[in-house]
Parts: sequence; structure tokens; C-alpha cells
Amino acid sequence: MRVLLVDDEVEYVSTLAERLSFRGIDASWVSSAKEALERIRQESFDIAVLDVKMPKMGGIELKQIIEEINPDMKFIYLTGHGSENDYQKGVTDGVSYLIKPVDIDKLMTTMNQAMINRGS
Amino acid sequence: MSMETEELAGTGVRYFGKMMAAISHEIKNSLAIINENAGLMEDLSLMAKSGHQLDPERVGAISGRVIKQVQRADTTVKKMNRLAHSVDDPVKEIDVADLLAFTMELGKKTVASLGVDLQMTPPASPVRINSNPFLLMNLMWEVMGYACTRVNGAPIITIAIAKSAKGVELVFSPVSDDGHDGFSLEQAPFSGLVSCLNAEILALADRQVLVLILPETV
Repeated sequence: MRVLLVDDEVEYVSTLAERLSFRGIDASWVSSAKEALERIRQESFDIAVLDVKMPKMGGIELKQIIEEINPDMKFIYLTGHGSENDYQKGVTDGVSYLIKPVDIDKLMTTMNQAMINRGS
Repeated sequence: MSMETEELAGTGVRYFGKMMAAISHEIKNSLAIINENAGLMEDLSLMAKSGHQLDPERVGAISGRVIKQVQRADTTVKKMNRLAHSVDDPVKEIDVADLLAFTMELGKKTVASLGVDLQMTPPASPVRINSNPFLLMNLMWEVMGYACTRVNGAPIITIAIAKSAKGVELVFSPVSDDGHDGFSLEQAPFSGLVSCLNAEILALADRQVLVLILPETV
């Protein structure tokens, strides 16, 4: 499973990527929507884990652009904010919405579920 | 409650709520980093139990990251405390640059999500006025928000503070009317606050600036 983690908190996203790699996930990370789009245009990923609130472009807007580049990708929103509006947007988009701090086993389960849904 | 008081209370509660949401987001981010680093320590210790060598330098670096996040969260809680106590005094002496810097700091991430940076040009020497700290922060924030929607693509809004004959001027630039139907300052969300604080606001379209004039005493 190839996963791209996108979060402007570098210490968070880099540590999470390392922990996922210990669990057999091929995880890459970037800290902005701009970098994410550059990576996705160059490489193929199965899942993007997106921070909802980022400077300039947040995860919800980023998802829409990524879908145009790679319609097969699956998405998980990850945020510290937990606002009702963002949650509802996640529900509307059919995307799993996890709130920080997240349990890594729950994230793994959510990613595996997204891959199963992708195959069905 | 009069319409004006009701409107001011609503504006104030919305501002307080927005800042509390930003603060809780910041605390959540610190907690998330602490959580991941504690998890990483757990992962490394499990790996050590199964024969992998545990690098003491690595452990020290992880510990350093946790300490840094605890300090960051502590700073965030101090900001929350300052915001909470901004309602204590109806009128007090205020260093305008200090209060503006604090207001900018509190709303930094919210403004950044709009793709705009705010920069302050402080006065040559401290400028002090007597005003209501919370209402003044609320007014500064509302004017910042208004300006952010009228930057016409500019990435940075500069806020310059200077003494003037009427009191203190906060000059926001660039703020343009492009794409809007006039500046409509009377309908702007800050009009009640401007009136309550005996302030004035002017849009100088030719210079692309918005000028907030605050009296020396409210």
C-alpha cells in the first residue's frame, strides 16, 4: 500500500510516516498542498491522508484536485479541528474523518478499509 | 438588551469562539506530535526487545521533540489565558502595537488558510490608548478579516501604526474595492464595534488603504 501523508505539522507527519513504515506501509509525506500535487503528478499512490486545515489550501480543496489527477485514489481526512462543518463535508464526500491525536491502529484499520472499498 | 448591545454581544461571542477553535486546534496539534513521539518510543522499545539496537541519540532526539511540544502547548495556553482575561477591564491602558501583535498571533493560522500573510509596521515609540481590550481586539480582527477578502491577489497585508491628531491610526494596505460593490463600510461586520469604541474607519480607494482611527480615550 502506497500512502501519501499531507500535513503542515512536519514533526507530526514525519513521525507518523516512520511509524507506518514499521507496519509495512510505504508511506511518504509532504507538508503542503503544493508539494502534494507535485508528488502525485510524479508518483502513484493508493491513499492520501489529508490534513483538513493547512495554509493556502486545505485538505478538502486538495482532494478535489487530486481526484482529477488520479481518480482511483482513496482519501482519509485527518484534523485537529474537529468542526461539525468539516465533519459533515467528510461525510458528504464519503471520506473517513479522523481527529488528532489518532490511534495508529485505528488509522491502519481505516486505510485497510479504504483499500477494500477501492477493490470492490 | 438593545439591538446594538445584542449585535455587539453576538460579534464578541463569534470572535471568542473562533479564537478558541484556533487555540484548541493548536493544542491538538501539540498533543498529536507528543502522541506520535510516545508511539515511536513504544515502537522502538518493542523492536529493541526483539533484538534491534536502540540508539541513545535517537531516544534523546525524540525526548527533545516532546519537550518542545510541551513548551509550545504551554505558550498556547498562555495565549488562551490572555484572551480570557481580556474581558476583565471595561477600559484600561493599552499598548496598541502589543495588542495588535497578539491579535495577529491568535488569528495567524486562520488568516494563513486564506492565503494571506499579515505584517505589522510598529510605531517608532510605543503608542498607548485607553480602551476596552476585548472589543478592540475584536475590532482589529474584523477589520483584518474584511481586508483579507479585498487584497486583489496581494499575498501580504501590512498594518502600520502611527500617532495622529485624532489619536492612533492603523493603516491596512493594500485593500482594494476590485470586484466588490463599493467598500460598504456601514454594512461591514465591524460597524457596531467602530461606533462603540468611538473609532472611525475610512477607505481611501486611490491609495488602496483602509484606515482605522482609534481615539486616545474611548
